[in-house]
Amino acid sequence: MSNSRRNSGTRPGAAGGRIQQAKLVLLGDQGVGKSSLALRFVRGQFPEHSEATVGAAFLTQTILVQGQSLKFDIWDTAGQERYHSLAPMYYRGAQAAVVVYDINNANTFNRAISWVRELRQQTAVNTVIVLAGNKADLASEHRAVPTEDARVFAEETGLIFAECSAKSGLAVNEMFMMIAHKIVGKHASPNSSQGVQLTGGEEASSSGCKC
Amino acid sequence: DYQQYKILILEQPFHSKFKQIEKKLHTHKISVRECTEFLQSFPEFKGSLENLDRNIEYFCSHYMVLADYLNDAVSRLRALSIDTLKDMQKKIKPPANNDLKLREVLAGTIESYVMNAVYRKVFVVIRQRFSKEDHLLLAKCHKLSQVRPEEIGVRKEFSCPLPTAVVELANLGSLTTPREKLTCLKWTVDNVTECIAASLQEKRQAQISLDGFLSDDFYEPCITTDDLIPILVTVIARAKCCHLHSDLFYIENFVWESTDRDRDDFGYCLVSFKAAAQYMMETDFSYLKESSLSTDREISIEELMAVTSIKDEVRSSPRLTTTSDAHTRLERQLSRISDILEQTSQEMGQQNGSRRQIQSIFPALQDDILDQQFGKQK
Repeated sequence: MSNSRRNSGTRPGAAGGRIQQAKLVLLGDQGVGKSSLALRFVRGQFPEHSEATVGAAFLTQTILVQGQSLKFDIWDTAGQERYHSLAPMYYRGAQAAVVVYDINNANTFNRAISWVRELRQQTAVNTVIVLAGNKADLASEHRAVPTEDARVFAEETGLIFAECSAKSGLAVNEMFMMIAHKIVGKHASPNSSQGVQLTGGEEASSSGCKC
Repeated sequence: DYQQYKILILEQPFHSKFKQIEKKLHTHKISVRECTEFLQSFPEFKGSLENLDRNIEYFCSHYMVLADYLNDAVSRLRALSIDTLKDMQKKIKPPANNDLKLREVLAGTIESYVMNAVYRKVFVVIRQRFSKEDHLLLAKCHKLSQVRPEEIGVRKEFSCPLPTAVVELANLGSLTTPREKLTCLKWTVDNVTECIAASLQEKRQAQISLDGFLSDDFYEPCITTDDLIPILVTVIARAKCCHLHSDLFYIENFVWESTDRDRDDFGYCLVSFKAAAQYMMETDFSYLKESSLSTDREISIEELMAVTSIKDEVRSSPRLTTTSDAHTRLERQLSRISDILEQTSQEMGQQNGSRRQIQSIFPALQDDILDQQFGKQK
């Protein structure tokens, strides 16, 4: 009797326009920065000195993609191993999944690979999956996962790949925008079809996609 | 090129076709009373409602709900709701007849109306089906209710009394429609976040008053799903929900008129409770020692039950009849207490035998959260 429908839909907007909606889940080990990425995207800030202290577990953000409104319902998932068996409840019916790892911690990358394999088995084939290497701001000193390794894995498994930083804002918005483009069925610019350009920091990432 | 335009702003459209629908018609109805009043407020629905009542009566007297065939009950009740919705939609006058939002509100309202009417018939079977799980979960609740939150995995920063969340969740069993129950779960999570936010705010104020400023390295944590699951475990344990598995099944399978069900914040709250309940069921908590008994002062479960058991007799929930979202949870709880007092005074006049039950209410009210020392509510 369980409902297995996909969680996309449209509903009337305030001005009578149609808003497409999509469920997006964040997966990855505890401490890799899943909720920080979501907060950076939604509120444009890193939670270190956030005014709103709670509620990073469920967030929404509406963006404009190619003239169409898309509302993301962003679900955080539990990253601790002891909650692993609960994860399918959260990612069931998701249209997009961002699998996050810390580029300064190889173990989190290995866990991300397991998450991707699980998602491939358990979710619909057209689920948009992103492999996101977070904490790029610390990479110059502490990098443990070579960009090429992650990129090769992403290409082999048909994922969008991005290295980003929730702290500096690097490539965060671009990553979510790319997901949005995929969901609405339109491609982003040709040179960013399979990866996020790491250009600029705070300014570059915070422009363009907020509505 | 520079071009000038004149813009005419009108208070309302010239043509009645474009006249805006009243805001109240776009507001979701939660409580049974709200739903009934809403449907009865349309004179044109009178015939449809009478027909619906007949069909519900027929379902209740002729249909046997079987534990292994609950999906059949779901489809029958859903079909009943859809037919009624179609019938009512034909009778709505323009321009409201084409309003999608009104259709959504109306569909949810009919669903709640139907589910309230068949609640006793359906829910008793659901309880039968999940009696083993409910029993096991309740046993775990008893085990965990006195354990410190940190022992279950709650981060120290988030370990604080959550009396309003416990009270809210303890009320789950007295609600009859799946939509009311789902809203109860959502409000419980809201109460959790509010209590924790207030606790963190207190800590921040304490540091400012101690140091005279907020240092740059002051760490302000966010609640993530990793945090929420053990927090909900503590709330479930203290609320001692007798039929949580049954309630979760009921909500998941008998709310059908919602396009956002598995995606929005209500859906997230439902999944979080399911996750917390499953975690409780799967985890062996026998390692927890008696020494980890909590010393936090909370409302005792006996007091909670004394308050909520009376509401079992109340078909509608006055707490939920306050439609304005501006009402704070504190106001809702005041409303709830007023309702209990009103109910009590009525019962005092009618039932001499209920004296003992009434007496048990007063200690609960004396210790209600409004007089609690927590003082962290907004």
